[in-house]
Parts: sequence; structure tokens; C-alpha cells
Amino acid sequence: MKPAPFSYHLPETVDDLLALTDEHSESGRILAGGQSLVPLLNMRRLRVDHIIDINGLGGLNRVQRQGDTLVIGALVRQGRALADPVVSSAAPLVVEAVGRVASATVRNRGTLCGSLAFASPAGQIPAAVLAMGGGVSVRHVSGDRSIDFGDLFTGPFATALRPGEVMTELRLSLWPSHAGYAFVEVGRARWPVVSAASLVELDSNVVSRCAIALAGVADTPVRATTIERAFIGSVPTDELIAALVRGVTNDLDVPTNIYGTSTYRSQVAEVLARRSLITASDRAGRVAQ
Amino acid sequence: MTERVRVGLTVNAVQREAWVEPRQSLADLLRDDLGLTGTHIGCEQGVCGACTVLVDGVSVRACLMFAVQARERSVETVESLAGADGGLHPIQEAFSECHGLQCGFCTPGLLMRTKEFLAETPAPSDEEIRSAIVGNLCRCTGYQAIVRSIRDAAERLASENEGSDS
Repeated sequence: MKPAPFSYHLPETVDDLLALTDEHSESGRILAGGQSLVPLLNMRRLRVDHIIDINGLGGLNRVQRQGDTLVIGALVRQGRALADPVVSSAAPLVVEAVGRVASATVRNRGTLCGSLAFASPAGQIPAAVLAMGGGVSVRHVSGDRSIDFGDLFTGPFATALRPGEVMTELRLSLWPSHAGYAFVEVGRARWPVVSAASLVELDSNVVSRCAIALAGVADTPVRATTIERAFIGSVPTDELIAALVRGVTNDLDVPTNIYGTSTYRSQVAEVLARRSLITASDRAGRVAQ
Repeated sequence: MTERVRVGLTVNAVQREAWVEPRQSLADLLRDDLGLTGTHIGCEQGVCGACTVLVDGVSVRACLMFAVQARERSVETVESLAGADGGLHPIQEAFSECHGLQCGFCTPGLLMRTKEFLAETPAPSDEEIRSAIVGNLCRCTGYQAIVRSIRDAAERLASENEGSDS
């Protein structure tokens, strides 16, 4: 299986990049790590006339903490994020999720922003960033904008990016270092099926803030806001958490595919939601009642 | 659309050159244009790991990287492991002695991944070894012997390094 022919572009400046993405907005694709795009091209599930390779743009390599925000450029590889002390101290939830992605060899090339642009409904990185909060910076020849993670994923393998727009970085809203976190997953042969990403902040053993995102149970990753609202203000006991997560997918149209039926995914989601909230509460320093 | 472009790169410490279509993978460049058929192509979708090579010392799927992206880079394939006299590399010796291969199709990828992994983790636990090779599928399912081979390779490389230090 070989890709259909395409023209290859290697812009050296962001201005060149934006001109190219504008010119080829209908039949061009951005190539970053290529770990999701190239399989689609090889299988000819996707045909494009223009590949715009951003690997020549050094400015997209940055990992930078700016106050309560962590900026990760579009060329930051997943493997680098795993090894980077700035990422591990600022966003341990994301590191735990990235560690579940495929294999070290794939992570050597694959980027965090690429995982967001690919927008797999079961993707680990989309779920983790959705729990944390923040968004992506998007550039276009006619102007730049930001898209919140909550608005970014519009369907299976679909994002809110418009033709000609390029995601240049992601900006994570950081949680305080005393917040507990947990990313847990059930997968098949390193292929994600269902996962849960949780963050919990405690104040005198009472939940003051929390977030939980699930992947693999809908067309996009989703926040379980009903659980979040009910959890805040309570003492995070195992019994309470088990009660909260019951029927967590009831309001969702849970898909069935070769990796799992709707019923299976719903059951697994409940278990993973419970485990992630328990581990996150433990790591936030909850005191057993 | 089918224009060819020149790609100059270093492969196994030798400067090479080829004219390729942009859609051509690094794996096909190595095999078809440079005759280095040690790199195997299994799935062509990044799942099996048979085509794993090192680019600037880092393992990549050669089926998911276009040849044009390897311009001015340094590529190491399984052919780089054995010495000029044909003597096996310690990792190859370990795989041979511990029966770390049956049909041999996954072996080139596993050897290159092992080279990268043991450089980062010279004394791995079995759990670390198993985790390190999740991206390399063996359809003969000979994983027990592969794990033993990598453990043995780590010991061989360690004793070699001790020898060179003294």
C-alpha cells in the first residue's frame, strides 16, 4: 500500500507555511509526526494533493511555562514530553496519558498537537487535555485565534479548525501541584478503547475542584460534568465515588466497533471513572474516613 | 505530481543519494533504491515495527517517514550492526544464542529497537524490556525468547564496556 502521488512542501518560515495552507486549503494536509496521517495515506483512506511538512520550522519546538499556562509547540514529540522535567512537574496527568500512547518508536515522531488534530474519539491526549483545560493556538493568513479544548473536538476525527488554519501550539491551563491526577485506560494491544482522566483538588479533605474526561464512549472525548458538579463539596470516599460514577455514560450515544460494544464500553467507563477518581483523590492527599 | 526530488543522506556511515517521488517511504528508499533489504516491511501502517530503523540515533517507523524527510539525516539499518568482517554485533549474538528469532521477519526491527533501548537503559528489568518492545510484533509469538535475548544482549554489552574501560 503506497500513498497516491502528492506534491511536497517544506516551508522554512511561518509566513510561508500560512501562504501554503491558504493556497492548498482544500487539498493540503499538515505533516508533523506523521504517525496518524501517513497510515491513512498509505491505506489510501485519505488522498491529498499537497503535503505541507512543518518539520523545518524550528519555532514550533518550544515547551515553556508561562505562569499558570504550559505552552507546547506543534512539533514537540510525545517522547520528548515524557522526558521533559517541565512537562512532568507542570502537567503530570498529560505525561501519564502520553505514556499510554502506542510505543516508544511511535512517540519518537508523534506530536501532542498532532494527536489533537487527528481527534480520535478514543485518543489519550485529547482526553487528558480536555480534563485540564486550556486550548490551542491556531494561525491563518488572515488572522489568528484560540480554540478551547471544549470546542475543539467536533466529531470523530474532526476538529473546529477551518480550511487553511494551522494549529501551532497547545496551551494547557495548569492545576496547582497539590492537585491529584490519574489517567487510566483499557486498551487492546496498545490501541486505546476506553480511558478516564481525572483531576481532584482538596481543601480540608473536601473536594474543592475536580475534572473528569472520558474517551472512547462518544464521538468525541467528553467531560462528565454531572459527576464533577456532584463531587465538589463532598468528602471523596470510595463509596461516594462508586455511587457517583454509576451510569456515567447513560446520556451518551456510546459507539460500538471492533474494539468493544456499546455495553462493554459503558461498563468499562464506569470502572475507569471510579478508579481514576479514587487514584486522583489519593494523590490529592485524601484522608480515609 | 510525480516529480522526483534528490535526496542525499547518510546510511550506515556512507553518503548515499537517490531520486525519489515525495510519496516514497524511507523504507522503500532503503530497500528499492539502496538495496538494503534487511529492513523489512510488514504492515505499512506503523503497527508491526518490522521496518524500525534509527534516524539520527532515534528509532522511527521507516514506513511512516517519507524519504524526502530523511534528507541530510543519518540513518542506521540492521546492516550496520555486523562488523566489516561479518562478525555479529553483541545484540545479534544474543538473539542467535537465545533463539530470539524464528521466521526472522520481525528481527531487523527488534534489533534496532533493542540497540536504542539498551543505550538508554543498559541494565533493564524484564518488565522494562517487555514495555520497550510493545511496538514490535512477532507473529511467531516468540516473545519469551526475545525478552531473554535482550536481557542477554544487555549483559554482553555491559561486559564489553567493562572490557573497554580497563
